[in-house]
Amino acid sequence: MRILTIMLKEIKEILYDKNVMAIMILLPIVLIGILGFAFSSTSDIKLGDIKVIYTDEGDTILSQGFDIFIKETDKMGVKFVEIKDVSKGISEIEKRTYDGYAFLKGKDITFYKNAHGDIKTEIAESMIDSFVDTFKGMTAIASQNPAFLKNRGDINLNREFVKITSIDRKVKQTSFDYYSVTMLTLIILYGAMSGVFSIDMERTKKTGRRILASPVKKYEILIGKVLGVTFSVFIQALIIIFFSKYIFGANWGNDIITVFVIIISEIIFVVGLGVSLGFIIKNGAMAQGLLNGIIPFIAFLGGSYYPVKEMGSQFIERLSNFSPITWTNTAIFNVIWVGNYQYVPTALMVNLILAAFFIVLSAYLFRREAF
Amino acid sequence: MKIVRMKDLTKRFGNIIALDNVNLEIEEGEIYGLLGPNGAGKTTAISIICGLISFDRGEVYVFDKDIRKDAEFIKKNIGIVPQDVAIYGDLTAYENVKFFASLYGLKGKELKENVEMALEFVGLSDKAKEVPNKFSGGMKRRLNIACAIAHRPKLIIMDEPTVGIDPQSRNHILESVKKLNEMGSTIIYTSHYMEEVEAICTRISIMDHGKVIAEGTKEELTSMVTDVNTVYIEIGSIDGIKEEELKGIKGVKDVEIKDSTIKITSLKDVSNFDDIIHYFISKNIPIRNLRNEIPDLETVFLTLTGRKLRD
Repeated sequence: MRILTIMLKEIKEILYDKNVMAIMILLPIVLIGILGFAFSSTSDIKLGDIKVIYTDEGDTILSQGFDIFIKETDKMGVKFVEIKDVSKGISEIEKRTYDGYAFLKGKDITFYKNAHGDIKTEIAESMIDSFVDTFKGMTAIASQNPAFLKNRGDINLNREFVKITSIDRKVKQTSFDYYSVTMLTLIILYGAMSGVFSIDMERTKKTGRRILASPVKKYEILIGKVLGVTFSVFIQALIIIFFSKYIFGANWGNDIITVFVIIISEIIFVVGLGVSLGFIIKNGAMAQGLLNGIIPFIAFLGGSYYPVKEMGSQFIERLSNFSPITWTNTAIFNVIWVGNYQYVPTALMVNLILAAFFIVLSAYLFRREAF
Repeated sequence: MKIVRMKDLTKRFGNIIALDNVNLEIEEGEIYGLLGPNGAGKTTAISIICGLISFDRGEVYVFDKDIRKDAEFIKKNIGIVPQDVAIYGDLTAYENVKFFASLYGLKGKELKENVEMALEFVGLSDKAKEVPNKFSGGMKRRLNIACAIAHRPKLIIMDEPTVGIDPQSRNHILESVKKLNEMGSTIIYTSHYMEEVEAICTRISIMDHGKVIAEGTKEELTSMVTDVNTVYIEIGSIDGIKEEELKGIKGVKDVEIKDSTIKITSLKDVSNFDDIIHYFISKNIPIRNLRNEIPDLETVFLTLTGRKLRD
């Protein structure tokens, strides 16, 4: 009950604060608008282009089906470029010039990729996987019932494969789609400020001493604060998602619940970070300055401002693995665009381990001394 | 019942001894004053009573319970009015009082009624829906009190509650303290304003450098520092006044005549006031003014420490 009391007080304090609300809601919406429009009209930055190379050593039926497949997918913004030399194809992928490499051999397709979790690579792989699954299914039916093939003819049959594999979904990611996600996860990082101030305000307003003089336990105060700030930041995130979806037409996919789960894990992490900083640095302005220095760097590595892979630097790409936002963005993009949940556990694990670390640290610091 | 009992209480902050073997007992129903300059140890003492800080040595019992064992029970029955205004500027007055009362376990109808009672008590009912950021200093101080009393504590600790406010708000707060005491709460009142402590406290401890240097009622304290009574008598003309005659009155120790004012110092335990007045009447000398000098707590503190309270 007392946890709920503290939680509600935190929510009221944050949501009543017009400055915080302006920064946390208006700023990302304005940024999504500016970056979305800027990059959608710039010819040399096309977030939507997916470039895949392929080598065709497949059998006749597979080759015919794949030819139709690449013609259909071309209309959706996926560009396939044929390359004869397999080793050159692999080397191109190592150099990350292309988003993927499909090698057709006999009845099989092997897909090579380098950038794990990159959304364009994942989309390309997902489409090829779907094509292969459907192709194998249909050829199995055909081998059991040859009349099926005779009635339809190879080409028509392959068109059906393509029709199925072309996937009834949006393939080309617009800059609005991209920045709606990255600006959201970026602004959530600034939710750490609310965590800092939830501690610092009790110090500057002298209310912390009054709370501690009441029969409330320290763990109740800490849990109430973390939950309250988490809920407030989540409300702000919901408003941003709603606005980007219905005003900018951003794609948030078909599984918003999983997206919410990932977002909440990030919020708990940043709130834990903020609260612990509030205890470590007993000066709100100084803690704010530190966060203002760190967050843009973490966000940059996480691809908040520009996709890291598009920068063409393997060093930055490797460094980006150390940004928790990289994993959050990758997981969200994969859920939205490919329906791929492979990166969700990693994102949750990274966020929740960091959250646990910072919350335990806060509990330790709070136990040792008051606000 | 003893509301607070401290025995040989010692608290150190590094090399600084904040409380040095403090012994103190506060009875139920008292308005107990803790008087002393800044750094005397008043806030440390009340922080220990509230369970906010630990102590190094000694014993502390509140409501006859050991603070180290029954902190939750003790905290539930204490209301603290901190020295600094400790409220949330962006929450309404009602939300502020409700929040702090909720921390003491109040809920539902009881919570609502108590919050309204507390706001009414401090005269802020009509400002319940307004945010304290727009309040005057005095109103904030009153809300500070409301936040401490909504859960109807048995013991209310007021730590310098009148610092930096106008005389009108100060009077309102002092009246509130008396009323709360009449309603059944024991009050611990800390201040370095001796006039306030003199005006409202039934018993007083004078603290300095972490020690209780004197304790008792105001009369008991003043009697500790002086064994004389001083009377100033202003007359029209000193013609006919003889210093020796005045010195001959029983108990008079000293007489000083300056211009038209006569200062007569007598032994405190000798009742000679009638004799002194009779001397002037018998000489047909009209008295224009008469003033009896009673030592105040400032004098007591000065005498005991050699320093003024606000040094």
